[in-house]
Amino acid sequence: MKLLDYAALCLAVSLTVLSFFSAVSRSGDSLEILIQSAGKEWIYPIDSELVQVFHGPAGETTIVVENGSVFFSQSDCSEQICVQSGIIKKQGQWIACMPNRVFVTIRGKKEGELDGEVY
Amino acid sequence: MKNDYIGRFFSPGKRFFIGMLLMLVFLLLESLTFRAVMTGFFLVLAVLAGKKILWKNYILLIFFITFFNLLSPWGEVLFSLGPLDITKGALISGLLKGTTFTGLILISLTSIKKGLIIPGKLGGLIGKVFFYFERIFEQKHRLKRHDLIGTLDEILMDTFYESEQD
Amino acid sequence: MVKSTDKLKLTSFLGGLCLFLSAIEYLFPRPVPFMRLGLANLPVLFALKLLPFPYVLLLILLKITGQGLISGTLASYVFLFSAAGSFTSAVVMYSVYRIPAKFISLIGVSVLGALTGNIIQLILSVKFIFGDSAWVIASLFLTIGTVSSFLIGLFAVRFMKRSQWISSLEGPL
Repeated sequence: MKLLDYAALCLAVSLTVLSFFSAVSRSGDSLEILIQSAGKEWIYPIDSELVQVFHGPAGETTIVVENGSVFFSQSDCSEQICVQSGIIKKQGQWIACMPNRVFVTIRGKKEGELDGEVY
Repeated sequence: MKNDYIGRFFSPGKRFFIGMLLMLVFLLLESLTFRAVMTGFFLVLAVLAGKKILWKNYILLIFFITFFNLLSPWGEVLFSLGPLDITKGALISGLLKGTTFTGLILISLTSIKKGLIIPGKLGGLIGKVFFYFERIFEQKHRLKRHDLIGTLDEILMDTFYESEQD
Repeated sequence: MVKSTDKLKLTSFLGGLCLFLSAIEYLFPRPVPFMRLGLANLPVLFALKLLPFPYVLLLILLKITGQGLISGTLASYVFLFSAAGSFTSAVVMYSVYRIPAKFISLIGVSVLGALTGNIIQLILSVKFIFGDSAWVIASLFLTIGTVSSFLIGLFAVRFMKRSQWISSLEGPL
């Protein structure tokens, strides 16, 4: 074994260990969006790009996910509180459209929640 | 060796060509139902070609691919298995990737037949590689666990220089 | 200097040895069906010493094509992944091999080569097949790869020291 053989082994071992820990932490810190409507649930990673229409008692509600944030772009409800709520992007934030029964919240991934309880 | 029913009707070259056409069709349409049906069809072809089907491997492959895709939820929650939410988007994407991967292996198995001639210089070299492979493989019994280095060296010495004459 | 026809002969012979070692590896019982030890990397280590770089690349091409023909996966993702992994690994091994032997042996060359090949294959399979969550098992693959490449490197060092076959080829080079 020569000097750089040890270096190569160290590199391989440290990348292996690093890949383990990055995989563990990666699953913890990413946020996801939970949408509830008409008794069903939808989950998307926060970095998704999508526009989805939900049907409720008041009509249609459109939710947009882009640039790591969520907002209601349109809703057939009378009060329009949900659309005026603007953009949310942090864990724990939520928007609801009461008349059309659509609820959106940002949460950590499940492993992340467990970690949170430990501290 | 099992029967190769496909080999009775197609030359290795034609067989490879048709296999590649089928593969192209397979990849053209990104629909789970289509890919699953085609994968089933490729499975039948591989059985007809007398290929050894590694059932356990293919099932495990699809299972693991789907499982890992399910860990990144996407779309409507169908049901929850303990802490894991099974989402429709992730399930479909996992099954799609799993069947695609398996389908590609199966059609590849069927298309490629010993005697397939790879044209040109590379083809000639591949032929030589197989020639040496068979020479070395014939000597496999001479490899001894207690002296791997010595016995491997002897085999290489013999097989490399023995074929010098021809 | 060895004639170019002899270099071609040696390249295809090493290719045959790669296939032989793949076959041996296939006979071993494997705990995980997709786990690879990479025994077929041994002849590539020999080639670094015995052949100029273009022939090393040719050997890689012969190795993966031969493996694809035997396993029947020549026309699938498996082939593309192994091609990408093997070629980048060969480039890394060749570059590292040029470092004076005082500092590094085939052990380090083998470990770094396997590391590169494995990382490339992991990235491709995560990107195209398994999705981000599969990074969890990345560490398992890297562990197996590191241990087996270390042992293969060690074997290569010992083999080259003792082998009459290697020294019979080295003479004219």
